[in-house]
Formats: sequence, C-alpha cells, structure tokens
Amino acid sequence: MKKIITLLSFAAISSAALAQTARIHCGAFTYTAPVSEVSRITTSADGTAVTFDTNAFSAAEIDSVTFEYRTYDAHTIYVNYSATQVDITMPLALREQFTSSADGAHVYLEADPAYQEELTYYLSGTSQNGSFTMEGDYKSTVILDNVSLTSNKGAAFDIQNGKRIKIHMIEGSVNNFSDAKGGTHDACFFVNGHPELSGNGTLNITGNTKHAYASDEYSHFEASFGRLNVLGAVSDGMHIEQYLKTQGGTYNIKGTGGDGIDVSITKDPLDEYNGQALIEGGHFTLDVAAEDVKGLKCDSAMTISAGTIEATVSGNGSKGISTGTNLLIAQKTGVPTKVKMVVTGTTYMPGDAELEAKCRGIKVKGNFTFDGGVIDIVATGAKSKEISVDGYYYYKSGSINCYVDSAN
Amino acid sequence: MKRSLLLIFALVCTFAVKAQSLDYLTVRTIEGTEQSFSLDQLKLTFADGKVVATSKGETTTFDFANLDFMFFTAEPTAIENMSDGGCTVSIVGGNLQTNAPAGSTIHVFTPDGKRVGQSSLNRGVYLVQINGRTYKTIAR
Repeated sequence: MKKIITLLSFAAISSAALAQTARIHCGAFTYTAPVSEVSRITTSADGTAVTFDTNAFSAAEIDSVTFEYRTYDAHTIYVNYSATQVDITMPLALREQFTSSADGAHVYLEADPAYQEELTYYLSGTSQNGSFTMEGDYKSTVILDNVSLTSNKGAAFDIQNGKRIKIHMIEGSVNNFSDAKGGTHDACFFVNGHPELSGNGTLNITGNTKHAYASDEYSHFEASFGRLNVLGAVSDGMHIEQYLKTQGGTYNIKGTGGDGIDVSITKDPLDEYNGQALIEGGHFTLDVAAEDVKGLKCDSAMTISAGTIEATVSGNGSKGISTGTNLLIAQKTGVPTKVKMVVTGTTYMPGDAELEAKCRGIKVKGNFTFDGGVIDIVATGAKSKEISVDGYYYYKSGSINCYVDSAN
Repeated sequence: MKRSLLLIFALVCTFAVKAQSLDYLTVRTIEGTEQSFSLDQLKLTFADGKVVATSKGETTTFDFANLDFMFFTAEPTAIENMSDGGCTVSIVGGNLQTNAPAGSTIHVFTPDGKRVGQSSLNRGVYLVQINGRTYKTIAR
C-alpha cells in the first residue's frame, strides 16, 4: 500500500509540474507564456496585428506560434548560441520590460531601469562570432552552462549592470571567452558591478585587447568556485576595482603583458576594503614572465589567511606579490597557507633613474606580519630578493626558508 | 491510516488540477462558429491576412477579417474537431449556411433538443447535425 501511494505521489507531482506553454517565435527571440495566462488571442481585421491579451505583435514579425508541454520560469531568460546564430527564450511578460537585439550571435539585453525584480540569464552554446551584453538596474544572476564565445567585435561577456551579479557555473561545465583584438573595451569578460562567482566549472578567458577579466567593483569568488584559467592577456589577467576576495577555487594565470592580478583602489574613500586582496582560500598559479609586472598586486593591504600561491617570477624587475601597504600571511586553524615562489628574473632597465626595477618574490611597501603557514621562496636572479619590506617585519609563527629584507 | 488518507486526498486534488490542463486552442469566427485544435503538434502562422493552423499535417485557414478571437480550453468546444475535415457551418441573416455535400442529411436543433427549420432562425445557439455529425453555431 505504501509503495503504491509513493508511486502515485511521484506521478502526480511530475504531471502537475508541467503546463502547456505557447511559444511565439520572432526571429532570434521566442516569447513563452503559459496558455493558462493567455485569456485570448485577437487579430486585426486588416491582417497586420496579432495580440496576445495586451501583448501586441505585428503579424509580420511572428514566424510561428507553437506549443510545448513544459513550464518555463517566469524570471529566467535563456540564451543559446549556435555558430553565427542565437536563440533567446524569454517570458512574454518580460517582453515590454526589455530593449533587446540580436545581431547574428551578438546579443544585447537591456532591462528597463524601472524593472526591479531579479532575473536569471542562462547562457549555453558556442559561437565563434558572438557575445553577451546585459544592462539593467537590479541585481541579477548569470548562469554559465558550457558556453563558449569568441567575439570579433568588443568584449565577449559584457555586464553593464552595476549591481550585484551572481555568476554561477554549472557543475563540470567548461566556459570559454575570447574577445576581439584592437578594441576599445576594457576586458574580454567584464562586469561593471560586483560579481560573486560560484560553481564547480571551468572558466577560460583570453584578453586580446586589454584585460582578460575585469570588474569595476569588488569580485568575490566563493568557496564553491571551480577554476579560472587566464590563457593570455594584453594587459592584466584579472583587473579588479575595490577589492578581491577568494574563498576557494583554482586560478591559473599566464601569458599576461601586465599584472597577473591587479586590485586597484577606487576614488571613493568610503568603499570597504578599498584596494585590498583578501585571500581566504584558493590555489593560485602565476606565471610572471613579462617585465616589470606583478603576479598578485594590490594598492592597499593584502591578507593571505588560507590557500596556496605559487609563482614563477622570470620577468626582469617583476614581483610575485606586491602590496601598496601591509601584508599579513597567516594560517587559520586546520586550513594550510602556503606561498611558494621561484624568482629568476634580474633587474629591469638597470641604471635608469626612473624606470629601474629589481626582481622580488614579495615586495611590501608597508609592514609584513607572518603568523602561520609556509613560505618557500628561492631567488636566484642577479640582484633579486626573496622578500623586501619597506616597513617592519613581524614574525609570530610559521615556517619560512628565506631572508626578509626589512627596516628592522 | 490518517496519513495515508491525507496523502490519497492530496493525490486526488493534484490529478484534479491536472485534468483542467488547457490542451486545445479554440477559434471563434465572427459568425459564431467555433473550431478546436489540439495543442499537440499545432503550429500557427500569420501571413497575407490569414491565420494558418497546421496540425499533424492538416491545414485549416482563417481570414483575419472573419476571426473574432482565439482562446484556450480544456476540451474541444465544438462537438467535432474541425481538423479532421468536418463541414463549415454558420447562420447568416437567420439562414443556415454550410458547405456540406449535396444530398447530405441536415437537421437543426435548439440546445433543448427541439428540431427547427434551416431558415428564419432567431438569435441563439443551435446544434446542426450533418450526416450524423453535430456542430454548434450561433445565430446573431
């Protein structure tokens, strides 16, 4: 009896979850509406217009109307790329809230500023000639589900929305973004607001104009975040305004003409953690091969309280880690902290009064406090140093195998 | 026992809700006739002032000018689904009009079953039986 009831329950729940949905196909856009929410469809006598309740279409813009036994979420927009085309599926109720366009596989979706509900944009598919641009005035979520975009004009992923943007990668997904060369945009993968990234997928980015990844406000990589690979960048691998916080994830950054990770201070003195890097987890592998650049740099203080940072510093005058003010390396109970570097670069522009730069594993412009973890730095390049501190060095605990050049 | 009864009650309610699923598109013309199409594999296109309903390979065309509106129903509103090749039936100026083949057996009934003639029909709903198949229409 119990088994029968369980089976019946399952069947009832499954069938009740679905509903007939009208799909109005208009070029790259498909507008969906549960038929239960469409009281009537009317046509104009002159044959020019078709109206679904209050949603008016010109007859010419409708390719067809089909029906599907499926329920679509009322706040999710699906964007599926295929070569030079894209299919955008959007609830009919949102149509009037958007200014939208699809130029081949270049998608532009702008939510009306008056629309104040959270939306989810679900990206999938592949295009060798496409991009995703989103604008709005309310926090949003973007889901990456095996999406690969190579843009031949501008950024590949461009979030102009200045609010909180959750970016979640589907488990096991591989997502690739590459932008056009010689553009005027800041980054291949750009977020104007503050991104919060999660999901155990892989994100591969190549910046062919300037930075690979950039955010105009803080970036927060959550503990569930999978992998970020910067495959190359004309300038920085990651360029972040305000602060960077990582609580997990794997970060491989190579082939950059600028810094691997650059965290810049903003102009607003009230911005919290302004200019700071807060490393609370994550495994960083930084290939610092360009000259006079930094692997991990911040304008203000840096705190490394868990995770691993490994850097190969071969560029002349380059630094593995560089802080604008203080550095704290510590270890939370039970969570290892490790900093490992091999420094082989020498002096950049030796003898130049303005431009000469020495090669360092770690360069601290303020004070350096070491309270737990392992520091393993070997510097063999001529005139290079493992750790150079302009201020004071405070040792409290931990294992360190190199000399710290400091004021005390 | 109480838990099982509650669960059974919930299941019955769920199936009841499912039974109200809107699975048909009904087209109403300005003459008052209604034709229903199953949403399964139904496709609508709009061109040249016409609505074309294609369902499982069969096509039915309506002029925009002759359409009143379309709506969704749980059951086909006409007794017969026009997509299987039934006749067109309407009442214009009190007179029955149909494209039934010559020699067809045609009877007209009021909803309460009273048989009436095919002309001088007053305003109201009528059931038109053609060769044993019944259609619903409205005299306006």
